[in-house]
Amino acid sequence: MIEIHGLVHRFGEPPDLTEALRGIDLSIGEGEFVALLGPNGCGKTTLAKHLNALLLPTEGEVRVDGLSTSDPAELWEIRRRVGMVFQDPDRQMVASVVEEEVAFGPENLGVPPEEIRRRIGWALEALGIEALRRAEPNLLSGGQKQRVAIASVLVMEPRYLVMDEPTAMLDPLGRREVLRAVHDLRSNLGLTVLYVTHHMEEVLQADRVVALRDGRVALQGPPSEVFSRVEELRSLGLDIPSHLELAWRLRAAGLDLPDGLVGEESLAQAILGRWRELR
Amino acid sequence: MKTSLLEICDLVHVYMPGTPFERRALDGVSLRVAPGEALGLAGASGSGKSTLAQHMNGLLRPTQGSVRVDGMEIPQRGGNLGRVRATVGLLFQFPEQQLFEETLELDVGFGPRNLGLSPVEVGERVAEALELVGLPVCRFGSRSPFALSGGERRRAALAGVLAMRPRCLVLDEPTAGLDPRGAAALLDLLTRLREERGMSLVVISHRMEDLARLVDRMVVLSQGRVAADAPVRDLLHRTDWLDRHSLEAPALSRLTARLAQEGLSLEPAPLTVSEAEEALRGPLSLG
Ligand SMILES: Nc1ncnc2c1ncn2[C@@H]1O[C@H](COP(=O)(O)OP(=O)(O)OP(=O)(O)O)[C@@H](O)[C@H]1O
Ligand SMILES: Nc1ncnc2c1ncn2[C@@H]1O[C@H](COP(=O)(O)OP(=O)(O)O)[C@@H](O)[C@H]1O
Ligand SMILES: [Mg+2]
Ligand SMILES: [Mg+2]
Repeated sequence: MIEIHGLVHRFGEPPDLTEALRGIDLSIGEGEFVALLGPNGCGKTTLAKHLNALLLPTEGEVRVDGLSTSDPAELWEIRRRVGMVFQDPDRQMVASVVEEEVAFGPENLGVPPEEIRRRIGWALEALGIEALRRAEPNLLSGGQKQRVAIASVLVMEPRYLVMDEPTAMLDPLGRREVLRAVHDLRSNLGLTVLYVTHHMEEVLQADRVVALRDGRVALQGPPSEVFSRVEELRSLGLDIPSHLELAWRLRAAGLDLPDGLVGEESLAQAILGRWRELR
Repeated sequence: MKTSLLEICDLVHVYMPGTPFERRALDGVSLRVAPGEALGLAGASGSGKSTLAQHMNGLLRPTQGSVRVDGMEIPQRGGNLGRVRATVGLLFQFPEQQLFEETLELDVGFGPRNLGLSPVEVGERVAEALELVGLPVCRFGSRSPFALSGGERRRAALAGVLAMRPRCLVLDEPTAGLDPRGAAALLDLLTRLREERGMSLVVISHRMEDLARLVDRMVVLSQGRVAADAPVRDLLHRTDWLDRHSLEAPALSRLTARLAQEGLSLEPAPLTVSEAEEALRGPLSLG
């Protein structure tokens, strides 16, 4: 479990002081998939970097399974437990072959070669990229590169995966590949995920959506609730997937739709059902 | 015939020729952009979009074929590209590649200073450009470009391009990393620049719904070749074809295609939620 209490983060000194986080209280439970949204500059990346002690609190506290990120003695254990994946896969690659890339972290920690080999096999399989084992990272597609980046984190056997806009630089195919991989990891390995994105359609399957504004939590709840608050979302500079907005409007106009979030196919079925009935 | 602002003929680009890493990123691409026209450019990652974009202002030189900007041919090597660069402003896919000064004000002013403008004019352009991208100079002018959030950096890089007031903007995935409101505001800004200043646009994007709002025509690249050059609306509903090119039809187009499959066809195909709602009210006899 990750617990964040009264977290404040300031960058720089006056006159160029930026208060990026202004008092965040949040906890992320075991196995939870939390999506973090919010306008540019609201503090998402800053918050994400606190979870594995890449940044330390100016005020307040962050605890990972009870270990405080402010305690230097726990630094490496926290970094092992909380894996980070960033936006641009290219900048995360160091080796010239996928398996070396993936081996990099555990090798640095002195994990025995046998064990490293086992973990690589397992991680590549978990992400559906076994076939890329001997490929050159530079020649992979964006979605493949990003899955290699996730595999490199997975071999550290983390309990938490923090992903900062992992699909922002990908084409729609790569985006689908990465999303599917993340959902698989979560259901097969029980990983806890914090997922930052600007793409609302990517978070419909999250357990909880947290939206920040100006360094504070502005809105949170399950997607079914958050995405029904259309006006509030818009006022935060966020959006709602267009098929959902259409569903809400048709429901308001009298179309019979199942409760809660509606997938594209169930929307199509509801429309077709009513249309056939009328004919 | 009207002269093209950009005219690309059988362009071939080979990276690292003669090495084991040789890569033919563009393999005979031809296209034109008329003055004031807006062109969308899409395709799977690695299909050559960014390579093509960099040819449009002479950052890369043709291996074969030709690139003309407002009639000036870009030579295979050497030559003075001052006028080309003043005509075409390029926003890189990765904004870090074009931010380098100590403060945002200096960074955005870099190009205008090099044009030899007076400090007052430079100041005006910087203020205007930063305002346009939502980073007002009073709050952001003295900030370091490297101490910005991802989306703020992208906006800053765009301000640097706008401050040059080019006649043609080439934008490589300009909305990636922008929040939804910022992305919508950027589309409005680009539409305005085109309408008010007659700017030509080349916009690389994976978001078909954005392209549909912004451009008339769209070129889809596939493995360094042109796979389609057609009006956006013609491509939107070809969901399977788009899928094969790693693209994705907008949710409403997918829905429209799905309904049509079952015999319920909406004409004209809706592009916005309101259009879809309107189009469905009749067939579903909703109030
Ligand atoms: N290294 C830094 N030094 C000073 N200020 C910073 C630094 N990094 C970020 N900031 C500022 O802190 C605030 C929060 O930034 P952060 O990167 O957390 O935003 P974000 O929510 O991730 O935004 P985006 O959606 O653009 O990625 C912003 O105002 C930003 O300008
Ligand atoms: N600087 C470079 N050196 C070598 N190869 C490159 C370079 N930039 C791009 N490529 C290769 O050229 C091809 C096209 O890349 P790019 O133009 O970036 O595609 P896109 O922008 O459509 O994703 C890819 O195979 C890519 O790996
Ligand atoms: Mg960020
Ligand atoms: Mg590119």
